[in-house]
Amino acid sequence: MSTDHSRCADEELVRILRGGDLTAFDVLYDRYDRRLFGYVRRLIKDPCAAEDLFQEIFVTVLRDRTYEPDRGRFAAWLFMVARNRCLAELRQRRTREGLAEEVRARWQPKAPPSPERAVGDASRVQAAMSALPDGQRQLILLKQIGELTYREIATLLGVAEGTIKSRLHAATVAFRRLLSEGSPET
Amino acid sequence: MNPEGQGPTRRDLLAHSPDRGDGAAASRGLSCSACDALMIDHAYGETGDDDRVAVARHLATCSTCALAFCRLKADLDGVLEATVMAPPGALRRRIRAEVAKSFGPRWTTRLLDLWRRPVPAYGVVFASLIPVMIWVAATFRPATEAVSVEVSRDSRPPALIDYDSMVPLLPEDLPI
Repeated sequence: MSTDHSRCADEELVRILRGGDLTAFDVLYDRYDRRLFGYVRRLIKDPCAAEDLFQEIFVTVLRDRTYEPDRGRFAAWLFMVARNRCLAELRQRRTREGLAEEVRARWQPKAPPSPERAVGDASRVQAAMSALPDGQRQLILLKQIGELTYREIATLLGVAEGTIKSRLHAATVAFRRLLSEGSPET
Repeated sequence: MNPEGQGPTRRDLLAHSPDRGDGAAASRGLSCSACDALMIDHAYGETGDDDRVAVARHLATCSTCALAFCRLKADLDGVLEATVMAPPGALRRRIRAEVAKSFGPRWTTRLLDLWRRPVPAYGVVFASLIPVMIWVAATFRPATEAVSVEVSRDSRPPALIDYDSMVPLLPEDLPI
């Protein structure tokens, strides 16, 4: 039976999906696929690994019965799982690759930036985002891509809401400065 | 500063004297510097009701701050546009199949859904079956056999009623 769930809230869709209606999955997927995949791709550079991770995150979040729709927003839950999985993946990668690889990469001359990367607003934004420190980049991504509130980010990172507010202000200012100056990578 | 040490409170901001911008903005209760301090929160949608109204009013009257706000919004929207990315279509099918294993409808639910199917759906199914039924009826109809009535030798013709052989024949019936 096809039902129009497009106006339902995310939390309601999770309930419907748990009741066995897969059309709720389609609506949820359409809402979050581009944002979540973009978020994962931004953190995990390898496209194949990012695809696997994206699938794993989505399936984990939907299967996990410990999430109670009454207790919190689905988006916050989704991006919290995504962030934790991405960071775990990055840690594993760093361990695997080892310090030697890192040193070798550091001493190799950098490839000149491609002409496509040098032009266009999107590449300028990407360059500025890449030039930001990890913590600041995470904050901006969680706020802009995950659309999490200050409170949700604070809960996720385990710090005070006011701290998140001041850190996000600093991150935004730094990002805009890099954007206007042109990041060192371009 | 507020008690948590997180920047100026709203009262501080409202009391701040305007150091740039026009007087109309200041008369609304929010100075340009106060608006500037709230601008990032406003762009992120994190201002309270009072502050949101105050900033919106100020932006409506101060072209300098309105321009600065537009630039800020454009930069932040740029993050969204530069980051979002559509995953491959095959990924959707894979995830859907995985999710269906966990949440797919049970056979009882599917049977119930079939039963609850709306009447027009049955009408369409029935209408599509009519030509098939006609074809089946035309193809497998038993062949018509020739009607043959066997008359046994000892059978007699039916008896005539009210026949009397002694009645004299009429003149026209007499043999010539």
